[in-house]
Amino acid sequence: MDELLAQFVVEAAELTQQAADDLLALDRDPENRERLESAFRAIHTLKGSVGLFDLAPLQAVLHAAEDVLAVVLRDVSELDTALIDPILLAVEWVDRCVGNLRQRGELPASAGAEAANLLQALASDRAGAAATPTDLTPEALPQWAAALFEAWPSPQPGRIVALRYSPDPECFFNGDDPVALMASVPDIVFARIATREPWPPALQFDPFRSNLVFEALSLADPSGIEAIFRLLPDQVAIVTRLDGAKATEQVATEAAGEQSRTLRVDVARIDRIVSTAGELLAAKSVMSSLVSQALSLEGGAGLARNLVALQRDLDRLTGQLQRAASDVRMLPLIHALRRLPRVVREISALTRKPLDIQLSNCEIEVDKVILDGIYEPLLHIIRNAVDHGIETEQERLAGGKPAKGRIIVRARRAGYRVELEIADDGRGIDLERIRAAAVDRGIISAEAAQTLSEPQVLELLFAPGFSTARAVTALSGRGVGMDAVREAVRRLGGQATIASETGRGTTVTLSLPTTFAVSRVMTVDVAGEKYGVPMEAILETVRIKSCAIVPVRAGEAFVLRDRTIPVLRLGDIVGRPARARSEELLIVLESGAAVAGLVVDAIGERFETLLRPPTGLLRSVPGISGTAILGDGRIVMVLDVEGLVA
Amino acid sequence: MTIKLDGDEIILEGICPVGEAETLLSALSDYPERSVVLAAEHIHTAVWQVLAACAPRMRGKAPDTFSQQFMVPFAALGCAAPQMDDKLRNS
Amino acid sequence: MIRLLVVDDSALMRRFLGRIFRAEPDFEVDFARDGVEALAKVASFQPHVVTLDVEMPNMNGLACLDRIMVEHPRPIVMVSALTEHGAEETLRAIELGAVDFIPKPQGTISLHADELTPMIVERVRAAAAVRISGSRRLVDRIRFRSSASAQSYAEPSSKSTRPNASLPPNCVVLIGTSTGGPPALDAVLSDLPENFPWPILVAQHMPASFTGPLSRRLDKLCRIRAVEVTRPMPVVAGTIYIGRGDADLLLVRREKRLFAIATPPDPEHRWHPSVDRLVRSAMEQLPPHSLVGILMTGMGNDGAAAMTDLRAAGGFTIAEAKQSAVVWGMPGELVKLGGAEETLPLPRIGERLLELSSRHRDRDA
Repeated sequence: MDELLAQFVVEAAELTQQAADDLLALDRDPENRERLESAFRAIHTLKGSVGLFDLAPLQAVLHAAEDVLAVVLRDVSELDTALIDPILLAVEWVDRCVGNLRQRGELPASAGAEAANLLQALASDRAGAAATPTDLTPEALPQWAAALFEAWPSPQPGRIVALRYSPDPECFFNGDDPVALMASVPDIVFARIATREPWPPALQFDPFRSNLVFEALSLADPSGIEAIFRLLPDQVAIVTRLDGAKATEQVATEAAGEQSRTLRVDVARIDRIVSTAGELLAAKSVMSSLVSQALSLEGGAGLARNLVALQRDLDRLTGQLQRAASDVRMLPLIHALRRLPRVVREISALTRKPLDIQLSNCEIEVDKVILDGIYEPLLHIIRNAVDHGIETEQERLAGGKPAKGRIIVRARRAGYRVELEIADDGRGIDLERIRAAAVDRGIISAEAAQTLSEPQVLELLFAPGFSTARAVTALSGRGVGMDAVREAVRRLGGQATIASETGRGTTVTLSLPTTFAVSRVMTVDVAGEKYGVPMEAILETVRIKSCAIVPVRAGEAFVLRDRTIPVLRLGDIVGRPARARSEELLIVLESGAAVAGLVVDAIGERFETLLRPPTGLLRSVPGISGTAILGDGRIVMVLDVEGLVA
Repeated sequence: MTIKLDGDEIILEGICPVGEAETLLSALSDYPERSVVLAAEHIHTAVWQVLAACAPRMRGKAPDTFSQQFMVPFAALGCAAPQMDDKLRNS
Repeated sequence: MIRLLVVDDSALMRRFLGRIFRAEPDFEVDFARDGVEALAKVASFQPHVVTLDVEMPNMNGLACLDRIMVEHPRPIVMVSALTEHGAEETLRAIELGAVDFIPKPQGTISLHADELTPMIVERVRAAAAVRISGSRRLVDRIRFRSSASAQSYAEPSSKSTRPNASLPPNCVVLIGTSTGGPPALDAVLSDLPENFPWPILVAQHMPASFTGPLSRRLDKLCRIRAVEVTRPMPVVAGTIYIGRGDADLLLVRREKRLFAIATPPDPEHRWHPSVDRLVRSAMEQLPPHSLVGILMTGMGNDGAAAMTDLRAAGGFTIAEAKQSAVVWGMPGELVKLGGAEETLPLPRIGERLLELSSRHRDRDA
């Protein structure tokens, strides 16, 4: 790698980290000018550095992000926290791109398209317009593309790329020649050209301002077309339609008539509805205190009765609203799974193991957050299956198996949850090898290893840092193992288990919630900050003398009704230890069989809220399971009790 | 010069760069009845825009398939060219 | 040996510029990370020329520039982002005494680092040769000179014997300039009266984002109107037309009326807006004797060839004199080619325009 680029990669990582830190701080404290300036400087410097290289998509995105912050800085206004999300997304994306640069020396092929999405998110200014750069319903075509397909005189089935190119009016000054670009798009089967404005009279006509918009349909490979417009991500939209029964990806065929019934909506708008529903839930919790106030009034019983009736109605309606809002976010699993067949084909080519993948029951709907969150773990499981499970073709034939390895991804409803099974028909897991590896890596002692039952041995696969691959392989050898899978799934509120039969194959089962139900949350003050704790995890709250907390091995514990309970000090964990007190307030938390006492400064309100899994950067913060909205609209982070206690 | 005047005809030949748009515009706005002969190896978008805005009579052959198939008919429409649907702007 | 101090808060930019200049045999480079360090290094390293990032933490570029110009005056080249904001800051910096500026590399602009390198070296080298006298800023120097006495310039300047009355009423003035241009334009244009009878077309070499702020500044400073040409504009008397940067400015005729238009830059020419192209386009539309060509401070030779032809055809041409020019490249070339009918120091150029046009001005205005 060019030494300048190498230095850039290092500097960029620091700057994105700085910007992300600042933005997160701003999310909590939007008035913090210092952070705002620091974030601006980081992004500004980053943009300047990007300019040294040929990284147009990065440059465009950073420029847009800088503009958003510049406006806030200039207007000396407080940062609208809704603006933070798109900027954070942009920063995260830049970080990912830089990672790609470090590893491969180039941007991911999809960078152009992603940049366009981010630019759109950054441009949709004002409150709450933080768009997630993924389509809510990828199969719902944008309006222009749908209209273009309709206008096509001789439609034919198969993959078609729709392209819309609106050259910047100033583009000739940058040396662009849009007609020449369009002429270089291969396999155009249909095109139409329109003007932006009607042609003006000759005296005012400026031939050097581009006034054209091009739309075209091509049968060529979308990546080739993207490459042509690589430098113009903000001026081009490219949509690939896979249709017909012969669609290569086992994609659920889209009935033509259904297109018009699908509404394509910005995720941000839906999130606004969901969060408003959440706020409504929080607001209505005031009702119960109104009831008791009414009761304490002289002759207030009648008022109280009316209030109770109203409260019941409100309960019902907010419940309905919240469910309806959550429903909008529900998407069929196929959206996450449809990319798998292609990936499996690639893996198959890479490993020279013939493979077959089957998807079934993928129409089950789950919340978009879950959908977005499961792709990576799934990919991981499948890579593992191919790497460690599926045998080579010769081995399979020798073992009397079909030559092609088979992976089945099956979804199943289980109450309010959905179970995803990923089964392979490979060699299964060699328990002895797992035992040996665990001993090798010092996870358990040799004696203990022999006493473990089969499920316990399989459980070792999920131990942090465990990996049985003898050598780092191209597929799954990048230092993340099943522990990462479990962690990712757990963050979505799910569980991962594994079962195996020697010679017959391995099955990983993911049990996931389909949506995010209303949770009861209590706020606590810890180390000067408010956190939420799910009520279902709280056993009780106790006040004990500080001297009752005694050191035990590496930690501390106290005794509650003959039970020794470990003590957690969140202040220590977040690096702000509390001063010594004579008395401590603890909430006793339970998760599975584990119990722990959490030292807090104070206990706050209880309320109902929609618990949202962490998105964006929060996803990688340990100990946080999501965010909740308080009655006054503030956002608190909700503690991940399982992660803390277990 | 890639724009040549030949009697009542304006001939485009060679590589017609962006700067020739103004030349073609003044040639066409002085004498709108002049017709244009397409004989160039390349025609810049700016030049196409002048052709589309002035919609002169055209003959000859466009430099590439895309231009021949789509730009020539578009330019012939002149002011009758479709305008981008406002609803679709920025979508 | 040219000692260069690179002041930039980005390690990457320092390294980028460092690498460029270390490759030059006659440069010795040192670095400063911010304004405070820069001031210390200017005193200890005694650079011949300084490149200064406009935006830096601690002390920003302008504050730093101000201090250097007062305490250790020497040529400073601003390193500027090609943004509206960057342009305004940079023009302000030039007003405060910076000699020139170089754009920060930007991948999206057609200029890539490789193409940028020779340009950066050339401009910094030229800046190093500029003599900064005393602790006075450029604007002050020009104002000082104009008020002090034009006589000090009288000797080396040459004035033609052409009678003022010989110029026709419907002239067009064409001005070309580059490095050091903005304050020179201030000096020439700010005193022209409201009833100045001719349109003035200006090709000032600059990036696209700079000419908007430049024209707004001139519009405020001058008594006649100044506009940036971003679309076809009918050319009328008493207006200054600033050619949009990174593009070329042409005088064209549509339906028998004169228009100023901005066209995409012609790659045959190196600097934009190209003075040569402007002059040649004007010569196609108007007889040479109704054109006045003025070539002022700037590196290189843009405009010299076309203005020489203009003079040969009967047009009137003025070259800025060496004494007042920040860089006597373009006007020097015009003089060398014998294309300058008159050679005048900066303050005299504005006065000469007034004399030449006096017959055509409304007496009562």
